[in-house]
Amino acid sequence: MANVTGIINFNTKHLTRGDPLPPYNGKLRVYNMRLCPFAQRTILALNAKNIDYEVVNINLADKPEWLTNKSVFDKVPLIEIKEGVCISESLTIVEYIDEAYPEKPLLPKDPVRKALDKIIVEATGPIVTLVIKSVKAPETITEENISLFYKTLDYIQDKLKERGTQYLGGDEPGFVDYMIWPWFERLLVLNKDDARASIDPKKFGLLMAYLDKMKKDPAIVPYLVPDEIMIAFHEGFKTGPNPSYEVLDLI
Amino acid sequence: MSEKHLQTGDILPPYTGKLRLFAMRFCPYAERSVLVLNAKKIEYDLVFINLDHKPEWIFNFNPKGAVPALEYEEGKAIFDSNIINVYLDEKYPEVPLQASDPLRRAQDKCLVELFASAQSAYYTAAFAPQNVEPSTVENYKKGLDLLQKELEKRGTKFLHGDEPGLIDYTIWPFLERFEALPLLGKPEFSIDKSKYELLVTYMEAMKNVPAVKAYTLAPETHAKFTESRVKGDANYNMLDTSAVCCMRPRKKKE
Repeated sequence: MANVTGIINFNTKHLTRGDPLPPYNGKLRVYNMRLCPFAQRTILALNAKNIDYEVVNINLADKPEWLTNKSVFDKVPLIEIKEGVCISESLTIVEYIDEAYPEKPLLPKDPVRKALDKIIVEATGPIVTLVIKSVKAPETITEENISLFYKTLDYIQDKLKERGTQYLGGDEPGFVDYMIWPWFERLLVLNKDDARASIDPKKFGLLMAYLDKMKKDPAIVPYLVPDEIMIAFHEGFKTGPNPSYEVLDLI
Repeated sequence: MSEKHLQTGDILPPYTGKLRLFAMRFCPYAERSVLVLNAKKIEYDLVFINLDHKPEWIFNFNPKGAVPALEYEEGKAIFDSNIINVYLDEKYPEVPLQASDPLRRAQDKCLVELFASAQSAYYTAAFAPQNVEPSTVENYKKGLDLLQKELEKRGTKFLHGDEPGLIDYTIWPFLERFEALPLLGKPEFSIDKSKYELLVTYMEAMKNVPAVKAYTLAPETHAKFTESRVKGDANYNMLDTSAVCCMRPRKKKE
């Protein structure tokens, strides 16, 4: 089957207050924000499973009025699987997609292995915390945040060693790899020169080699943005509560 | 079932070959997994631990030292209630508790997520009553409204259907504890039958479910434990009668 990611437009206008709701045309729809790491989990899962979908980007700084009608959560990601039927929460969405589209499964069939993979995703909380804090409120980063962050990197690397496979999910990336990738993507760009969050290649050689492989994955590559865009987008947080949406027009 | 909570220095009871759940008698998250094990009629050992003076070995099963943790094979455990419960439902497929339709499963998960702010409100009201604000009561009522509406919409005896399922066992432990709040001097948290008739009927139905009956505790018991915890001296072994201070020889409760 042809690779659908080649024809999906990820870079549509971020709809805002006053913008009309695009009519639903029967295709699986992802309500997204181009650089939201939680929403990216949905994009990666769909890409990896070669499912066709359309993207409706949302300006989270000034949301369109119709978003609350779609889901009481009023956040992205959101998927609309048929007109008016939506699912929210990034991990719930991905588990749904994996169950509803059984080819190219992302989660293992074995119940223990599946549980252990979900545990790894849950365990990456300290990485999520550090990335979010360093972008939105770096002055609130504590010693404990940093020490838990490094403990978590150790934990991920230990899991790679323990499993002895190319990816945490096995010979191919799976649920666990795609769910944690968005945070590593940001760490590698936004925190590249950050002493508090730098990944020493001498200490984390295996982890870095794994991340290099992930960066070349066919589900991930079509969605990457140039480093300058990633950095410029987050600049907005330095002077206000929102990122710089205008940067996304440059993609 | 021994009501004794093991603590720092206590040895790990030997593995018997059965599934083993590490829990705390009054913990609602651990109760979720007890209910699922009961409902699926799986044989298991239950070990309670003191959360203020944790036995060292709990960290081998869960690096967070939290309950519930399920030892599924000797020395190996999985944790957090939702992960344990989905594992149990998949590994032991007789008596399926999850919805069979992927969309319904996703909607059930969203319901649990939406209910979480009512759970937080409960924790504040029970354990940090000085922090209760109008928004706390509001979030709590929103959670009750949510369940009432969902029961109306689904039109079945339980959220899952005519029989209780995972969604019911996931939410029940919190409803069980909500009833203790009026006993803790929080009348604004009582569940008004005239306003929440379907919800109250549902709660009565849940109390009669065998899996729940085997483990549920009365609101008075929850209130007593909660008060001891708030005082800073949680009485974990409140229900343990194995060491009675009576001269008369008595059979030890196992």
